[in-house]
Amino acid sequence: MHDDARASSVSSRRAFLRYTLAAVGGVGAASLLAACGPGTPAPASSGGGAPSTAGGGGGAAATQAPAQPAPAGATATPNAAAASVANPTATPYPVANFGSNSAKVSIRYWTILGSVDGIVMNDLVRKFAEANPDIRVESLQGVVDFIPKMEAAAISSTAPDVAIVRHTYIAAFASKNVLSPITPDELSQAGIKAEDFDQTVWKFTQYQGQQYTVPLDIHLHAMLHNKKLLADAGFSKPPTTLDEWTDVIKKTSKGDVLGYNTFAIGNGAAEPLTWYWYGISRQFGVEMLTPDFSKAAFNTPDGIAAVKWMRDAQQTGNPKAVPAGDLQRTGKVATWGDGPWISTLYFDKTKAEAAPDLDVAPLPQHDPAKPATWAQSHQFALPRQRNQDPAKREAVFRFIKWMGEHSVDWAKAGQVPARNSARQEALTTDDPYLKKLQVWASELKYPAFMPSSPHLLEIMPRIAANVEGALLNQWSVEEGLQKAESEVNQIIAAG
Amino acid sequence: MRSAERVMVAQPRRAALSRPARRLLSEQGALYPLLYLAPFLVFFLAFQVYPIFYGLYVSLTAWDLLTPPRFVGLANYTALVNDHLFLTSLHNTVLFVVLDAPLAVLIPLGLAMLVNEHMPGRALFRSAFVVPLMISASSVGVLWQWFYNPALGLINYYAQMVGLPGQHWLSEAGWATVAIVITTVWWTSGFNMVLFLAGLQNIPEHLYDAAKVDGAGAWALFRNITLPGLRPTTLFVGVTTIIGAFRVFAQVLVMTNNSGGPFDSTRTLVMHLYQTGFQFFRMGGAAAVAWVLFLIVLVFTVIQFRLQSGGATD
Repeated sequence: MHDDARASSVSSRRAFLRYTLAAVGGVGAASLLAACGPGTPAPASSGGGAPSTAGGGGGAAATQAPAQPAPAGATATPNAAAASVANPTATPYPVANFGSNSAKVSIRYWTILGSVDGIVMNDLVRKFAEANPDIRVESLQGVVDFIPKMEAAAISSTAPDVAIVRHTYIAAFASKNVLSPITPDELSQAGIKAEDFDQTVWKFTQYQGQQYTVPLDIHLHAMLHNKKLLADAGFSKPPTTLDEWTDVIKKTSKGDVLGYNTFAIGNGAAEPLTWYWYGISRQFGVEMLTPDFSKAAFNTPDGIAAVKWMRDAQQTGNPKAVPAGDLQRTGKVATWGDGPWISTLYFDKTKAEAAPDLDVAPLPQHDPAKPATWAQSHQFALPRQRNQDPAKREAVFRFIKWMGEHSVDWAKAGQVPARNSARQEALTTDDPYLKKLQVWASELKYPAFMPSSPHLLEIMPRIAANVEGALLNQWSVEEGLQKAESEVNQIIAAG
Repeated sequence: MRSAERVMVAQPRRAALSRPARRLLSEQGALYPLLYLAPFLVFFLAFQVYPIFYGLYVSLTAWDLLTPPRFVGLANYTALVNDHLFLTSLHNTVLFVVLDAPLAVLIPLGLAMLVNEHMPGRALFRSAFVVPLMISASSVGVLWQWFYNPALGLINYYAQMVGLPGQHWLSEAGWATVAIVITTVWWTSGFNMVLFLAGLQNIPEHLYDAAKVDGAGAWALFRNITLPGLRPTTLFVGVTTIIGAFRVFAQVLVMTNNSGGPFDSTRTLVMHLYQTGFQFFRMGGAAAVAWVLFLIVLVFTVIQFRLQSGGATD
């Protein structure tokens, strides 16, 4: 009887446990589902926020932020709004196949374009497939951890047939045999001529005497500003010099309004912060590396002055480093630096409440006689294949040529076409977004492109990490640049 | 009849192995256990032992997987001495171990003693404490990223409910490390708790009864019976916890979005290794970091064994 009692108590205890665990599991699952539900106020912000987080999150620090951070300053750290935290490391877009399965040739296409660019690019790929039914394109936009993935794909011979890279990647990839050279014959057969392109970005296609890429576009930094907030503080025009900018920041930073936010700050010290730092430093006449790329060149009094300006601007405009992505959209940030890829986000009333008040002006200059603004270029590259299929390579060149001819459409993603004819056309149009693009294009007279060092990919995150600490008063500017310089020199010396 | 006779005569067969070899592999031979171990040994040698020594070789080269390796001797190791990023990673990892290891040993000990008591729902509690172990590191990281969200997370919500100020957990240089320690302790306590529980149940009940008869209080019981009885368990738990704490990586990777935390404050050794090797493809440098980590852990382990070598061996 004692056993019976124990047996029945064991079975009832098991039943009790089963029910309790089921209830707890159900409650847990329900609350998790509720927490992970859509919390984004507008599709664009999640489109901007999530991929930029995915880019910033997945590829932060040592690699790069594969996605162009669409709302500049949208952070990847969890203290961003819920929208940005949703998918820390997911690829923004699934693989999209364009073209029929019965097409003769199928090519694979990877890009680092996340957020708005990726959507527009896929649209273009679709049009290409419709116009070329014998080619099928498998397109993957916004590849997270693009740099390690490309190198790993090169090692394992699973690289895509064509990819979009930033010009800063070319030297690194070419020096590691990740890219295959393009012969002059292939170029002439594809009808791609150097004269058709902006000459500065054409220079980046060369590495050690070989051509590796074909330029697609150019993008630069300009200053986004909220006209209403400036007017409220008594400014009828945007600032044109850094001193004027400092004044504007001081006078607009009151209440819950941020006068300024540093581009790409708080993103886990990924490469975009280095882009911004580079542009400002070049205004002070400071270069990142010595001309032979053997040592760091930015730890100079001018270099320190540049970062001090950035720090003071940040400490006045956004001392607590509040994530500014959503605030920019809702009209709570007065000024910030950003690239043209955000045009379809910030100038579209349906995506940004403050769109009617937002406008773009050329980036203010430290010395208007010696202007400079950060510039970068997207380029088509052909990764090295173990067994190159000539049909695929020919299809890739048709693809590149078609993209070049249609780069006016690419301008709608907010990129200045590298092809001269497309650039002229895009900049003399009445399209409202393209009109804004003209402000960025006006800075093309003084672009500051980062040096094509093969170590650039490793150097950028270390500069970003040390500069970010200085901007947020974790350490002094001098110490930050000192550490950055020694790390950069070590990276280069390690070979 | 004659053919049958012929068949019945045993033909001497050529032995496949020589007599000494056969003797070794026979049931009394020294190599007999190896036959049973062989399947495991093949995989163990191929996938665990060989890579360790291959890693040693790689650490003496400069190799980016895309071009052939280049022998550089001890250059990777000497570079580490001045590598400020490596030293930061080492500092962060040691800090993490100092914070995490005591908590990850003492808290499970307390939990084990609690669930060792006879009480209703004891099995439920035991399961509940072990369940976090079943979650993968990435899921733990994502989950706790949400918990630590300053505006929306549970931690700040409950903290403010009881009047404590909410913190910017993962975006402040000091708090980020604390946050990751808390997460790791929550995640791994179950494992040590189970070990301690087994150890506790191995302590004979009659020792406690005898001590209670002699009038021993709870603390005396703990100090004089429980702790010494748990000595082999504690040694094992301590060693594995410290080794595991030195290797912390996955949850840090997820919770800091691969950035090494605010201002490199949560950059750990394994994260440095990962970035060096698998993001920048400096295989030689990464292998050198791995071997340095191995030596550090070896030193700690030896020290621990020495400190506790006077313990019971049963």
